[in-house]
Amino acid sequence: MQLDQAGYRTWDGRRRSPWWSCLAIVRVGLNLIFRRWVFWILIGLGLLNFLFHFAFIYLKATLVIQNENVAKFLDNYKVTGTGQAYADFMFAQASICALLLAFAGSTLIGSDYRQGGMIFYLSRRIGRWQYIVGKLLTIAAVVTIVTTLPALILYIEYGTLSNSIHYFLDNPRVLAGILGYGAVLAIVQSLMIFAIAAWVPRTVPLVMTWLGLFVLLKGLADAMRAIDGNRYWLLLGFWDDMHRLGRWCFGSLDEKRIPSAGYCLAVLSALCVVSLILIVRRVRAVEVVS
Amino acid sequence: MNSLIPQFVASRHLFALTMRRQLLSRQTLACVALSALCALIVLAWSRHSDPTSKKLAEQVLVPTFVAFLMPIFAICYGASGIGGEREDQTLIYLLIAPLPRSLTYFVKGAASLSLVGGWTAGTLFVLCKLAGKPGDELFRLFLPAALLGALAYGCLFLLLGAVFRHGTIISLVYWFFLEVLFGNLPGIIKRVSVAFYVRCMVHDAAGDMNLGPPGRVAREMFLPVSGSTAMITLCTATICLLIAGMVLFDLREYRDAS
Amino acid sequence: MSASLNAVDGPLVEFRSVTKWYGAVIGVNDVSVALQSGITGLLGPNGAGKTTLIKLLTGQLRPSLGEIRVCGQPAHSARARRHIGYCPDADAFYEEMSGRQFVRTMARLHGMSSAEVQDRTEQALSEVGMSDRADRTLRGCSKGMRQRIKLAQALVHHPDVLIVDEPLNGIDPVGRRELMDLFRRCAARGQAVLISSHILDEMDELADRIVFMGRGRILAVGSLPDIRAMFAGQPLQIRIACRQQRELATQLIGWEHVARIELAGTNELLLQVIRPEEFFARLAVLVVETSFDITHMESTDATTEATFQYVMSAAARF
Repeated sequence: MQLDQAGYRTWDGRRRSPWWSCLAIVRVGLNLIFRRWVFWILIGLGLLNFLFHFAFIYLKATLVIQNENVAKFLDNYKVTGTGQAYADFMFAQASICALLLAFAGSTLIGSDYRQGGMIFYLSRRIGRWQYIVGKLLTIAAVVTIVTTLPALILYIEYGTLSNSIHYFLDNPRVLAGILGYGAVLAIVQSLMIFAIAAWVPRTVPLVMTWLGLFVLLKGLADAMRAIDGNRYWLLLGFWDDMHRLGRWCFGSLDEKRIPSAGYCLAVLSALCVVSLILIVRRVRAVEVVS
Repeated sequence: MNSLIPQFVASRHLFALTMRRQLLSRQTLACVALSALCALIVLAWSRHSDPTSKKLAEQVLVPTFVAFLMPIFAICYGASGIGGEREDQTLIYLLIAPLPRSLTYFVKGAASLSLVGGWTAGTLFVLCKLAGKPGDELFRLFLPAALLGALAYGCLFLLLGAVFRHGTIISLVYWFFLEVLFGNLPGIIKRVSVAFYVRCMVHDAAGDMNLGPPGRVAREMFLPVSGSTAMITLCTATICLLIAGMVLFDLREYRDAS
Repeated sequence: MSASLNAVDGPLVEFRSVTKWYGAVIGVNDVSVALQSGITGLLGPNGAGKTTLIKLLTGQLRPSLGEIRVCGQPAHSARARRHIGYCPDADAFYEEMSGRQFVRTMARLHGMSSAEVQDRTEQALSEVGMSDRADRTLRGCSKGMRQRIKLAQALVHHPDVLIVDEPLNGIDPVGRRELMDLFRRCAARGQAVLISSHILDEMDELADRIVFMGRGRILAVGSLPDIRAMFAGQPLQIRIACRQQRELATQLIGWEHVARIELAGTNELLLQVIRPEEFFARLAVLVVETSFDITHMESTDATTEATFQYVMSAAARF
């Protein structure tokens, strides 16, 4: 039978740039994660901290009217409203996010290597860079959902429950800080988890490597600093470097204190570059015969 | 009697197979790397001007070894005992072997727990040796608590790996929320965490050193139990978790096995 | 063959009113079937319940209702698993091992002594034609080699019941022939071989008996001719090669058994016949009386595939 008789015809639509496929990869990746109940447990646990802050802002807004002294008392603890408070909130959320990423890394990246899923991506009309960017965006989206989005909601809640719009006008740095810290967390964590999951795709070693990097390097940094008091050793703790950079975004970092935001930025940039090199080397190792 | 000898032979082989596969895996490399990092921390710490046993315990062994390395070893070999077979889809070969399922679980558990115990004791020994004189004293005090804690963790994570498809992640969630968060909350809620009993045993054994959580508030919130109570609790938890795992593994239907 | 086989009276495998639910979904529904030595093909569309049936038989699942016995033992017991060799569909192994190590490992898990392990492993590898290639790491083996190793591990303990899920996947035509011969040898030794497959052509020449499944039920059990005979009222497709093509067609068109006639090429007739036995008797008389030169005659839908279609369409009417 002739091909045209079978009802087939050439597609005469216009093909979009392959970069659009990154969005499809993000959509598929998020679907993959959202349909696992483990993800919802982790999100639920992450929400506990968010709900605490959410309720606290509401209570504070109510107590300000009922009793000014209680409001002043609460302000002493700087639980919310200030740049430092948002930085601390995002730092706590980022800890939960680290667990979530251990899961996401295994599901989104590790399974592509373990079960050969990568071939399905690379056999399409996309290149390795589109695959890499798509996956990075997916992980970044997960980080944003757990850290930046809740912080933005708290920021809006705090502003709208205050007596005027001045909170938003007086604290533009808070908004910039949320977005900046969110970007730091999303970029650094997505690159790192991608690099680790690509080289250590099995769940158990992946989890160990990922957590070891954050927990033990911080311990090592503290121990090394304790020897001679050299605070530059603290740069070894990547988790704290991200927090310092985040606090700088909020304007709450003491600039005179070593290590400064610039050093943290340099270390994290180097880490990102190394991660990217590892990712590219690993993705290149998969050969697609066209 | 006829079937007992083949079952014993098969069990012995399953034990050796599990040990070999777990030991020659990437997670062992990760364990070596993490232990090396921890050893670096101890080495750095031992260059302190005033290294004492109390400081070594409070600043390094409890936060780094008891709170992190010990559960990580247990997750590494415990959760992957059955969970690794599920992830690799090789569990089917164990399910069709002519061994009672509870025995399969027990043998795999025994192999995994041996590795968890071995790594825990070995790493503790190396860390204490690296720390010098203060370490020698602490090794004796920490060893029973660390071993019992590691076995309790191992049994728990083995069970989670057998029951849940994402056993490793569930183990992590348990460790982070029940051990790290609940373990530091006020009141008796911390008694659900394994690390609490390990710390109680260590504090009790090192009575002269006056070990305890750093800071007055933390000490007052700690509400410790006696060393013997902690030991009995850990032993009971280990045995109960192992038996629960054997029963659940026997009853569970693994639809994803093949 | 294991000695146990001789000790078993009655069927090697017996499903007695077995039902399995997955929550609200029913996997198999009131299945009663017995397997004897010989090759049994398990056929059915996707979702028919074949996998559930195999998992129940291998003790991976327990029936919600009913009972399964393997050589007289409950299927989920360890004693029953001694009689079962299972070659799963999933392409999963202890990848770091060589083929020989893998088969040895499986033999050891059956509690054999070292000498016995050695002998049985070589025997199993030789049976699947892998003796000289089994030292390669499984990670580096082709799909066909992996399939053979998987089969060797199922054979290594000389099971009474061999269950193979899609055994011919990834095997080249020569290899298929070899494996089919192997299954026949197993059947000749008195083993019950249950083969779940989608390759219906091979079932035609391989299976002594077919179990058709659909929607969780057993739709038909028996040899192909027996099952085909159940559909006697169903039109049968017949191809006849005859030099006097048009003359024969003229004769046949008036018969009440012949529902449809089609001329194919210059000397072939394609017929659709109802009540085939009566048709064949009358055709024999006609050929003798009129000297039609019939060079070839075959039924084109007595194959497994055609019977499968009949069974499925009949099942759909219920």
